[in-house]
Amino acid sequence: MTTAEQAKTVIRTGNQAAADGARLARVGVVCFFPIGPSDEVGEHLVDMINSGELDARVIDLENERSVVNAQITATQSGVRSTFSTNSEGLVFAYQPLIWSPYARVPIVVGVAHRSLEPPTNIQTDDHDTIIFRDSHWIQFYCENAQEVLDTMIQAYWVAERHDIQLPVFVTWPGWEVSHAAMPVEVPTQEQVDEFLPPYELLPGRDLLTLDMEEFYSNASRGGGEGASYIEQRYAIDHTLNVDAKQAILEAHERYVEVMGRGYGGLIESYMTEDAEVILVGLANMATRARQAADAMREQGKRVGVIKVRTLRPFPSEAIAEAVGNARVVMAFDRNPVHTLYHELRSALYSHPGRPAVLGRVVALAGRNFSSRDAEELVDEAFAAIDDPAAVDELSWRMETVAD
Amino acid sequence: MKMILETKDARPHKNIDAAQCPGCPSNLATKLVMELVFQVCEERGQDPIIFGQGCGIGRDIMHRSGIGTHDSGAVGMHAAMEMRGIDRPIVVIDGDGQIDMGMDDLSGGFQYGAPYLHVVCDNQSFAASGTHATGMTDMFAKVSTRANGRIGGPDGRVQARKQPAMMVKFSGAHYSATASPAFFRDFERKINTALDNLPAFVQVFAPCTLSWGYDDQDSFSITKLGTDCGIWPLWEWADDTGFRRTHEFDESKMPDQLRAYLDMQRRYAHVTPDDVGEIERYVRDLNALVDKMTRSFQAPA
Repeated sequence: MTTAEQAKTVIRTGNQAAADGARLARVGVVCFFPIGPSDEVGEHLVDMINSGELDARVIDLENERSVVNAQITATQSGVRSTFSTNSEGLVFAYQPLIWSPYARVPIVVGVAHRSLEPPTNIQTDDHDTIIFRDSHWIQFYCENAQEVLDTMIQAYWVAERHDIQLPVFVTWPGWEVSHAAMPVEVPTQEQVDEFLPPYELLPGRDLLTLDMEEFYSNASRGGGEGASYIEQRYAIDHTLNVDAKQAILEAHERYVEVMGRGYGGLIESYMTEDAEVILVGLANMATRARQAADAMREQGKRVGVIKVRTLRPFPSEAIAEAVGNARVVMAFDRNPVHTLYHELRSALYSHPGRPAVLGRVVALAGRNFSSRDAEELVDEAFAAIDDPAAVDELSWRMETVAD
Repeated sequence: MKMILETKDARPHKNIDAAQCPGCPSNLATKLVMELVFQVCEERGQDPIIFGQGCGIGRDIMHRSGIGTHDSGAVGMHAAMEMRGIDRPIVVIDGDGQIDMGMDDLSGGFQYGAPYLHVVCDNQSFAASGTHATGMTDMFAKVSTRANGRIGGPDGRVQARKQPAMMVKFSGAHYSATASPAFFRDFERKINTALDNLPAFVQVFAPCTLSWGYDDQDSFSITKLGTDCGIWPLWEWADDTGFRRTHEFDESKMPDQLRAYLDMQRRYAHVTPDDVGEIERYVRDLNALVDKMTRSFQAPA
């Protein structure tokens, strides 16, 4: 068996790490359309093709809608594929992106986040994938380049499992992670091959081996598969919210076995055991939360952090278990529709001792959100323990302070 | 080349017509294309993949990708074929609504150059949804949002239809043609030639009994008259043989034939003599364009 010692630690940006992940997953089709900050992933992959590191075809059509559609049919044709885009690119490709979960096509799409327009902005927040929350995509949010690489590989394992067959977003903050260089341990191809089996279509689902004469002789008209619509939607919903949770946990466990590192599974908890206040965030909002928790612990305040790795499926049970007897749960929502806040209120509604759930919209479009900002919000959370009515349940942090 | 009409074992793709309107030329064209493709490919030892969505091929038979994105769908499939070492001809059959929603996808697919054949059965409308305009709707033709065939309102503009068969040739197609089921030998030859010159595009004239408003027993005659009067000129444009007209246009007969063509259809019931004059000018201009293209794009020396 290969060992972790053979893996190299190198300096990688988040985008480079995403490309490494796709390369190590042995993608056969690289889809591309320009939009920053994500398009650099495709550029790196094309460089790998040109240098002989990767055997794949490039599909660079005229917009994201066509590119995602080609990714879908390539995947339905038995070849693992990759594409990275963000913000308006995702919106442009909305139609085929929504198509993919309901056609059970296990594509993996990387997203280095960028705020939605208008107004014109190239900075980062999570809104561009939050809008896909209600479309049965599996959604991973990554905190740093290492997690991007590792999650990219796990994403294929989960998506392609024959009992899952759902698309996956692997996301990371634009610029702050996509273009920030940091140490990354790149696993060997042997390690990844040990973890990730070759892509295999479900029997009878291969577009390239269909017997067309038989197909057209047996095809039905006037409704066809639509007659089982509700059953299909039930199966997809159950797969996402029950089976995919187990698959993600299993993928994580196996990955830890092979690579020797992990991220907790569906959530990553930090000092939650005795916490009175628990901060919850996606991706690098959890970084800020942990910094604030460390500072507050030094003041004797019991603060913990939950990093939510998967917005979908939403890990309600794992969060409830980690929340335990905490009095206040505060979401750091990096999106203008305060999604985490609502998800947490829903998940904890029936939790014994039902904690107060507060929402704070922060860091939209790359707005500064320092650890001191986070600490001030923690003070608000403690104030809610004494007098819940004195604190807004939901508010926006627009004025910020420097570290 | 074996002609389909001379064969006795043409495959009956019986389900393709199961839910179609009686006398639908789009469905007829689809069946002809499928039979031709299956037969030609069998003779060549090839196993084609046919997919698409439209009135002729149906809404749910083989709809494998998004709306207006059959060309990128073919590109994705072909990339997978290259990686897997599989070689099967890809044939897309859809309608003018699909390509109008995905004009970008259409041009991008041909520009990319994946070797596929795209056949459009063009009934000049989103017929199945209730007769709505596409970019291929002819001027003055009544559709749900254009009571007298004018854009924007009763006193609105008139506009010539798009010419996707010309557009794709400028986007990288090796072969592009217009065709009509009423001129079957020409149609059959064009499908054969297209399969030899991929990526290729064939735009098939496919009148619609319901949205055009004519008696379904007249499908053949209206299809033939459309080409005879010059509003649907037949031509082909191949890299190696250049541009050429494949059915002669007789301008002296045009006014009477055009009037007969218009009179057969409820969608033109409102037209005035001035409107007819404008349509005549359009037909003359369109055919002049075909003649100019013939002179301009000769076979390479």
